[in-house]
Amino acid sequence: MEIVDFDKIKKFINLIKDTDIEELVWEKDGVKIAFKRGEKKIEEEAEKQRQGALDSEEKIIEAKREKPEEKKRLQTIKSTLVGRFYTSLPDRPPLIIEGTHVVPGQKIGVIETMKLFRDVVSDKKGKIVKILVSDGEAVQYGQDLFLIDVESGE
Amino acid sequence: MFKKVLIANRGEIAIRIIRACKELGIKTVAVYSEGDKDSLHVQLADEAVCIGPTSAQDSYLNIPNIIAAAEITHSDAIHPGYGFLAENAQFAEICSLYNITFIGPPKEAISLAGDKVKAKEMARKANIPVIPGSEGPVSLDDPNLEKLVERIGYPVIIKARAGGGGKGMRLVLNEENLRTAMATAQAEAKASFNNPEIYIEKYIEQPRHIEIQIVADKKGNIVYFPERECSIQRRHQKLIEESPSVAINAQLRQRIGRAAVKFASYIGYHNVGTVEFLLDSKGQFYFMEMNTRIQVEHTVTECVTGHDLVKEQILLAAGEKINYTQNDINILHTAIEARINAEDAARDFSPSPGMIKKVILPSGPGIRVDTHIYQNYVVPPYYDSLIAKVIAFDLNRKNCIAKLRRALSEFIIEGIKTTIPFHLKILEDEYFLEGKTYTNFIQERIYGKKA
Repeated sequence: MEIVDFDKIKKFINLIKDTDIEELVWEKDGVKIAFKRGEKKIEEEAEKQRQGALDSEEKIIEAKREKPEEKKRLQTIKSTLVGRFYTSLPDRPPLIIEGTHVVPGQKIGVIETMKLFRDVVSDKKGKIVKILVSDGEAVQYGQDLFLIDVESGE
Repeated sequence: MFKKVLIANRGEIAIRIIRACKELGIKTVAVYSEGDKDSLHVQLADEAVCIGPTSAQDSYLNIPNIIAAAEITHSDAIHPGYGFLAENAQFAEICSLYNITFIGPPKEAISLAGDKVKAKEMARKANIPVIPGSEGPVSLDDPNLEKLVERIGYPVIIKARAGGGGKGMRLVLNEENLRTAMATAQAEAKASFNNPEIYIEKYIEQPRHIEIQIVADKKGNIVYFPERECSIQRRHQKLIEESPSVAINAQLRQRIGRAAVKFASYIGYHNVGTVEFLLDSKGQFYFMEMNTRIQVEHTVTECVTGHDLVKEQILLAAGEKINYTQNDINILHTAIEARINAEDAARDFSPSPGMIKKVILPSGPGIRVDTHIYQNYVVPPYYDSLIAKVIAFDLNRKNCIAKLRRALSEFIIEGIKTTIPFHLKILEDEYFLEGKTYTNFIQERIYGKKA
């Protein structure tokens, strides 16, 4: 296996830094070098990642400032029913409050339809950041009910 | 009177009902699936509730979510339109359990009319002519089968007890093919309706499909409207409907109308409904079935008589009495309707969903268009392909045909295929112009095949 040639990488960076090129992939003899323009200047990013790249088996430099998962961590739990939403059955303590950690399958609310209370069940693991509807509010199919900070490792 | 009506349907009929409610000063609630977010009925109603994902089973047929939508919007009545839950007796019952008025007939009448064998039994009891037949389900194991069919007389037609739309139907010309045809019909009926029961009827050659619109209040008053002829069908799906029929004179109109009223009265019907008959070439009519809903082609009757059947339907459900008599119903016009489907007639009527890039609707004197399409609307592939109904009305049939042709040639839809060119072909056919229409018209005149 060939050792990464940093001079070559630098050449590439210089080549694309003043252009509009968003992404560049170079491949030769089983060595692949890919550049992707992030929000910061590519050169500066490449510098930052130099140490990591030395140990990298993949020989790929990801010049991205933000990890893609960061944005996806905040997700919503949607209603699959139509009816009135409550955080608990009548005269019971709420099933969850903002800040509660939940796991898939956990009951996190109820929806009253046709005088029956049906469970709202979490389909995600994480921390409930915000309850998006108030108690007794009418909700429709597909409506966002909870904002959840999804925990990775699933 | 109702304060708010929820419309448990989509497409042009949802809009038709919203319009009737608006004219009556009633608030409206539209329900929609995720596939219908951009539908016109959602925009025209006062409120809209998403009731499920794209699949009709989980949205427009989802009874708990529809009832819940009525509850959260405080609707006091539900109009089911046609199709979906319109002829579901269980749904009508659930509505009443939750104190929501079902805008339609009583649930008992829905279940009775939905069972075609039972409905015929009732017609027979009420002394209404019925096509000779097996008077009940038949079995391949019956040792007297051949004798029974001999008595009815060939040719016969095999039909599915739970059937509709031509599924499970087989024409049998002689004894030789009887058992094979029955076996295939049974298998088809089982697959389509989960009910393999079949029955046998005399096959009426060159029949016309004649149906009578009735209007009945909860006090027992029933009136009938001039007949609609819906003989122009393709695979038992109606394409063109007209009223009055060229095959019916005033005397026959009264006889067949009274038979329809008799049936409705016999089964304790109220609200609007349609009794369907077959008319043979000698002027003999036979009861076929009753449709316990507002029909697609109610528009034809509206153009002929000037009555607003959807408004009347809502008023009747609210308990109002009919405020006119049989003698007040007059034939003011001849009307013909063309159902425009998003289908490619050149490719065996395969569905043609997609974005409507351009649309210019026909207009002018004597033209009515009921539709939910608009420019940039995407016709979804998940539901019925009906996208518009074009109705022409004039003082006589000849003028009416010319008017409908004129309207269809003005109708521009780009982006999808429609049945407009097919309709224009029918409207030019010499037999159609002469009124020689019968239920196998399309096969024989347009495809040039014997049925």
